[in-house]
Amino acid sequence: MWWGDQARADLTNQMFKLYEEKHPNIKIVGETSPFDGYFDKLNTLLASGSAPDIFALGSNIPDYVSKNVVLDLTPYVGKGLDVSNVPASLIDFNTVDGKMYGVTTGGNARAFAVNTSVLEKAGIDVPNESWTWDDFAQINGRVTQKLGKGYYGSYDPSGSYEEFETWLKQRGKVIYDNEQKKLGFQPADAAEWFQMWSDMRKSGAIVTAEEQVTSGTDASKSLITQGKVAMLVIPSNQLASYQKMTQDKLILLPYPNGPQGNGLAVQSGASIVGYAKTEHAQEVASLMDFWLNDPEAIKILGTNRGVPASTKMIDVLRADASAEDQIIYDYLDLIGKNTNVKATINIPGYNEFAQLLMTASQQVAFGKTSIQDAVNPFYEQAQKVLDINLKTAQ
Amino acid sequence: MRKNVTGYMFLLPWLIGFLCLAVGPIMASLYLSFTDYNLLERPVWSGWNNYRNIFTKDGSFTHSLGLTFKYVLLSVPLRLVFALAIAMVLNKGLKMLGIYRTIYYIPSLLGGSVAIAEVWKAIFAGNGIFNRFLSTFNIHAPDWISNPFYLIYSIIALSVWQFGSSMVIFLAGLKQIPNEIYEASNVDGVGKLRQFFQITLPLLSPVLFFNLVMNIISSFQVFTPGVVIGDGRGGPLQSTLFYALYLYQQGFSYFNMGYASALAWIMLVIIGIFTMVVFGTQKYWVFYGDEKGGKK
Amino acid sequence: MAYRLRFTHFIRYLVVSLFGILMIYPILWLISSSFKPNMDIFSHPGLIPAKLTLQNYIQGWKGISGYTFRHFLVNSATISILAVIGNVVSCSLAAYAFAKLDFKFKNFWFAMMLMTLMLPFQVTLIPQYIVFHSLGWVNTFLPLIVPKWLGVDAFFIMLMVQFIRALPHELHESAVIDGCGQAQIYFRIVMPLCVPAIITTSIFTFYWTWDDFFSQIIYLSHPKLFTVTIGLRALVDASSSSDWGSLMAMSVVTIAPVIIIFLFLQKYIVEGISTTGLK
Repeated sequence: MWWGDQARADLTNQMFKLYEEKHPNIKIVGETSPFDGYFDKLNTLLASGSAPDIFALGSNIPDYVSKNVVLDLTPYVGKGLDVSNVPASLIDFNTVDGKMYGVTTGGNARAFAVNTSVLEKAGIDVPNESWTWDDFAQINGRVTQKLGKGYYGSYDPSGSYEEFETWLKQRGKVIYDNEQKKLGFQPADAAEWFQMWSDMRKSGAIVTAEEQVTSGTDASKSLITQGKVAMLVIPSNQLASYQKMTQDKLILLPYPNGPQGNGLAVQSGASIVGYAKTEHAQEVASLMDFWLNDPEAIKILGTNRGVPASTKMIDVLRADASAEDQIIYDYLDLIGKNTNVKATINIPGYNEFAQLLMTASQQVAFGKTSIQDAVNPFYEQAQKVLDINLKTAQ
Repeated sequence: MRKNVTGYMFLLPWLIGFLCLAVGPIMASLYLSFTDYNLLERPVWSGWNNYRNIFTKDGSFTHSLGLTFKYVLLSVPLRLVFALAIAMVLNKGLKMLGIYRTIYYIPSLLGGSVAIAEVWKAIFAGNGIFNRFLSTFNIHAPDWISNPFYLIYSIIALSVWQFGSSMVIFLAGLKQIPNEIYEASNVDGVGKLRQFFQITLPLLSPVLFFNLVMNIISSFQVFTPGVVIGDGRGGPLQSTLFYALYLYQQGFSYFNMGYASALAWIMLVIIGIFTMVVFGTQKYWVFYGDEKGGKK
Repeated sequence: MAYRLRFTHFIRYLVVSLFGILMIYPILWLISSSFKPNMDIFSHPGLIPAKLTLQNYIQGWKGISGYTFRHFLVNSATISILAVIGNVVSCSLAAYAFAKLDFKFKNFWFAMMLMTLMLPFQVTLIPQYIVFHSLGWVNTFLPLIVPKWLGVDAFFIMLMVQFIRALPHELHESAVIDGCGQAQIYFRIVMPLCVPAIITTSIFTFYWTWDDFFSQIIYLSHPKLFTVTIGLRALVDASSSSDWGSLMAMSVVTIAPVIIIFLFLQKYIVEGISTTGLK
């Protein structure tokens, strides 16, 4: 079972048919659901013990692993499940405590989508991947200055889990330290993060708090496609959705660099996992292997969920890729060159933590509290959430 | 004895439904409220922990409860007033009555509609039609959608806009009042206002009572408007975190189903108290056709 | 005198019309958006579309996995109509019992009935699901229809109780004196007088079932069983890009039947009872 629209459903079912042709004794029933309601349905199915053999997850894999409903794939690696062409960062993403639980079906990386026309109009050169946060602040300031009211340099990613973590990684920290089983950052870090964005917001260089709410995450309403905002953080695979809403040329840029580089790594936008109580574990591994490595399967799926996990498969698709997809592939190549970026291990209690972060960021943005007064309770509650979720994992 | 049999015969479908479909889940949820249950593994008994935490450590509980109360106290009276007022106007035999009735009723058909939520957001946004209308009177209104401090009002407005369902019920009730009574009182020279208070209201009181109780019960459980107009998770800044949404979040997003069950039972008690109070006041203002001393 | 009457009449019309326009403005907006190309919907929010297109209707109709909206409409209609019949029958029976009959533990059951209304559905969802799952009813329409036949919607029981109690008791008494059995009273006297309530119940049940997203998505897995609400939500998928145009268009398509049904039925609420029914 997976989430998505009808285009994705058609492609996926097509792929299943292909698999069935190659494995005549196996029948696959594919179930799709709109994203809205997918997890409700999944949780209900899991709670009643009737979940599908394979289902899709995102950043919340550890939360499902800790509740013992996910199949451990490690015994199948090399024995029906070939992951030799999958980059280390993607394997790590799907691994919890040394055991592999998932297979990436769509890779992406966080990126700044940049509207080059807006920068041009403001007389600013498009930066390259060696830019810094100071450059970033300057560009934002100049966009507002040159173009006036209603124009902004960037949207405000301060409430987003992935964005905060990338910034932390640039400083050698993480949100969740899995070895020590505690939060990997200090309140002061969060304060510095919010302060940076707050300064830019006050000077009008980034969007207002209200605008962020209205259009910050919706491609069809975004001001970047209306030529009013120059930069926006997106997962790389959404480039096409934004590009098709505007004539301006959009490109992808890595984060501005911090003390340890840009902190980015190729991540799993969506993975598939097996159900712990499945009766067909070997077949599960076989289908996953097919999904990962079969060139015909990959050709059918394309980049609908993101970039294929296997580098070999990327080459298969690259030859006929569209202009936007080329940009994405090039971008991921660039990111793939990053070494020494800490592995992404999502915090147990991901949903709740992400919500706390968003609330804290909005408190600052709307001026409801001072940064310190937002950060301290946020940190405390985050600690509590982590403790509760670690406890249940035992 | 025979009376009992007849009574239960009529009650049978409901009784079966209640025993098979309601009792089990209700008892289960009560049990779960005393456990730690993360949905995917077995529940673990934890006694009064959940309840204790809710009342002593949970800021979101108080916040969402307060928000929900505000919603109920503002939207229920407004809905009922509009519903009754328009019902009375429409009851007086206008031409094209059917069309008007339909027009007023359509909004309430669109409850969970994502499309209408988008429409609503577009109308009440910072630079939407509503604010542009107000600015012609030189009133500078805030952004009713993206500003967390004002968002609740646009949601209340949405709820009041959907008064059509209560209105239809009032209409049905008004139609049950025989015309002769009004004609008789007209002959007696009774003025319109007195007619309203001495004939309409009392004869309509069972229906009014019903609308009041039902609106209170359902408003306390408001869920969908918060989800489709807000950001789906109680934001921005928890301004749409209605109690039912918070409950849902705890149970389905944060995997704290035991905690969510406790929250649900607390809500049930609260609604129950409100309902009992309203029921208790029945004898002071509600007149049934089967009571002695009722208006005739 | 006649002049004054016409004047108040005019004012009445004016008020009702103006207010009415306010009421349906959002819907007019919806309809007009359904004819605008995607890019224009939010950037040009006026009522009159600058460019007209039928693309949204064509695109939206396509539905999911080869099942078009015609399919979804049929599914939704089937579920809703069966639910209506079930509700009317079971709720009126129970309401009659509560309102007119006397039996042991009546008050207890009445309180229980009210209680089912007051518990947020989110917590009974999982246990109910388990019940239906063990019956093998998941991925069928049954969990959405059968409960209606068992009077699960206490709302309508309450509604009818209030209506029945508002009827003068002499009706009932004289029928009993005439030697009518309860069933006869129910069928011949009380129910016909409750036509407004029954119609109301039907309308509400119809569109509540039509609109019910949560239960439908939990119990219906296969696209061939999908209903309009699921189809609509699929158009606003957060993981790909939202197709607002199709959403607007399909929303218009799905609201239309409900409106038509209401237009058709609402005069029966009006026609209610004439007082000759009393004797």
